[in-house]
Amino acid sequence: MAVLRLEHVSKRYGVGDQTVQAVRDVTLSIDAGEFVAIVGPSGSGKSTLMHLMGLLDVPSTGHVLVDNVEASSLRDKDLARLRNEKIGFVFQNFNLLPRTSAVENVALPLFYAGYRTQPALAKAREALARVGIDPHLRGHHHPNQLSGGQQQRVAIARAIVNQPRVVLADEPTGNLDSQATDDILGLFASLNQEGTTIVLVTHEDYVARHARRIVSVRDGLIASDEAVVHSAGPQAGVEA
Amino acid sequence: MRLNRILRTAFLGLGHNPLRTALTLLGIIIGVAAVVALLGVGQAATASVTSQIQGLGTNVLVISPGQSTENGFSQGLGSSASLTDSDVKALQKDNALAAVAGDVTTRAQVVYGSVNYQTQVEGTTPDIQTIRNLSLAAGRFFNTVEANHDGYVAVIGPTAAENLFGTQSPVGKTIWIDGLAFEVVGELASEGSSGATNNDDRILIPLQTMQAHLLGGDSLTTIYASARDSQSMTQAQLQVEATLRQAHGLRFGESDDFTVTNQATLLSALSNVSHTLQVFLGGIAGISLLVGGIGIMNIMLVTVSERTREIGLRKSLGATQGSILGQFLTESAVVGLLGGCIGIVVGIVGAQGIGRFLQTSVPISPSSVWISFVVAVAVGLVFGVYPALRAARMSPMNALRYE
Repeated sequence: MAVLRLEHVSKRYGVGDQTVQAVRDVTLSIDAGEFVAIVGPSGSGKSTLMHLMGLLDVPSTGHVLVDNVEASSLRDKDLARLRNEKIGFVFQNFNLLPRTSAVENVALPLFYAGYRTQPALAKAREALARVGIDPHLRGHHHPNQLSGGQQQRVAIARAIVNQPRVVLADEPTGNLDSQATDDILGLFASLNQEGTTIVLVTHEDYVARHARRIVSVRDGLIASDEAVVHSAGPQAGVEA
Repeated sequence: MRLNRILRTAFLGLGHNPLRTALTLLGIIIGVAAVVALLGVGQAATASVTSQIQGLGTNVLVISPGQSTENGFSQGLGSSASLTDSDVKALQKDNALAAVAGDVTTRAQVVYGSVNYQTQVEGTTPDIQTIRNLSLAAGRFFNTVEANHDGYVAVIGPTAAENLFGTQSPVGKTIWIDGLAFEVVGELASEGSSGATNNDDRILIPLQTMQAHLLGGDSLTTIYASARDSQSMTQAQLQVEATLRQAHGLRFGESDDFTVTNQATLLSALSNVSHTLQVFLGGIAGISLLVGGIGIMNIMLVTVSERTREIGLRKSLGATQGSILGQFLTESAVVGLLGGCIGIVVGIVGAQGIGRFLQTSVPISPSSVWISFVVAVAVGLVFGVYPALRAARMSPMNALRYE
């Protein structure tokens, strides 16, 4: 069952008096439980594709369906609700609120969903524990008191706290050293094994190889879409 | 988002840059304090003018001789000697009037012992005491018997008394007015000065004595009359005019040779002036509040553009346009609210300071307090709307990519 569907989606930008065709007539379907990497060089349109999937941007033509709901005709309020309930975002630069504790950062989507403070914080602590951050030890730390890898774990906890249908990660390891990169990729793999659908945008082959399907994008078109054969599990790539 | 979270987010945002928040607050504080203090000062001015006019006596009609015209030139108010004792007698028959008193005023040399002093000497009747609302600090007013039988008695104003007697009590002393000896029977309580005239610097003696022995003739400088109550002022004024026209034998079409001044008219003219003053002061204060509001808008615009990425993030996590709008509107409303509260306190303290400086009491009306409070919050909201709308309408993708 498709949790995300793009149907003949195109996106054009006007830059000055030129028009840039970032995405050209892309049709793509992502099923529940998948771990997909979208790869491509910079400027290939992979980030635009991700913004369209996350309902952060609207297509020029075509349809975006999240959990079989057609999003292009929705109003702001309903779009916000879909983003809140169905989609979890992970960003390259973490995007945690400064001067705000890890627990409160994680609870933010729950507050927008209308949760009361205590139940929201309790759920946030559970999510933190799931990503390997001890909520009692580090829950009250502010982002600047955490390492990059820890900050990204907090951000992932925030992405999954609402049990979304799909987690969209945009270059999640772009700002991390190789040790933290492996930690985060391992976390994604384990979340995926528990059933979370993950779409990961990256320009690094090494990162992409952790996924189970790789969609490569070039000049706004899907150049290839193939399953990854893991001969010796995800860790095989480390030695290569 | 629940209200407590919205408030928490707003305070977090304000705490982000405390100095900037404090300076923005200052703009509102100064505006609100100015409104509270200046409106208080305006009201104090009104109150003092009103009380001075009412100090002249209640329901008083002041009748002055009219303007005489010589060779086509108007000679100014009181230049003709058109009022006489017979007018007083005619007016006393009017039942619209409670009391009537004729009055002659002159300046004269007054001597006590070796002290020589020039002051205003007023010949009048005991009725003046009720009409002009005169109260005595010591002794008594001269009575009807003294007034009607050439009594050589005088009531002295506090300024004149101080100049003639120093710290001594004037009551029982003998003073000489233009060579005639008068016994001082009472001292007036201080009325304070109203404008150029000092009501405390005068000596009152019986009218009859003054006309017979000091001036001669029966013309009067002023006739004071009081209406029965404040409702019948206009009727009393018309009555006085009719009576005097008849007494003076004026024909239809001839203009009055006297002028009747109604205290109510005076009061309303002056209250118009003080109302204008209040509007003027309120306007100045309002402008400073407006400037404070523009300060809020300025800072909120800076805040919104600084926090563009945060806005993008919040939208990606499920914030609606409404919740982003609410977040920033709450911030500016909190600035207005806090600024309003502090400004009211500063305004009250400032008004008391001004009151101490001017040696009057500056009243703080509850209405000016809550109006300026509501206005402060409204200013925060109104000037916060545009920046908050800008934040709310940002495209989430552009906001997230903002550098």
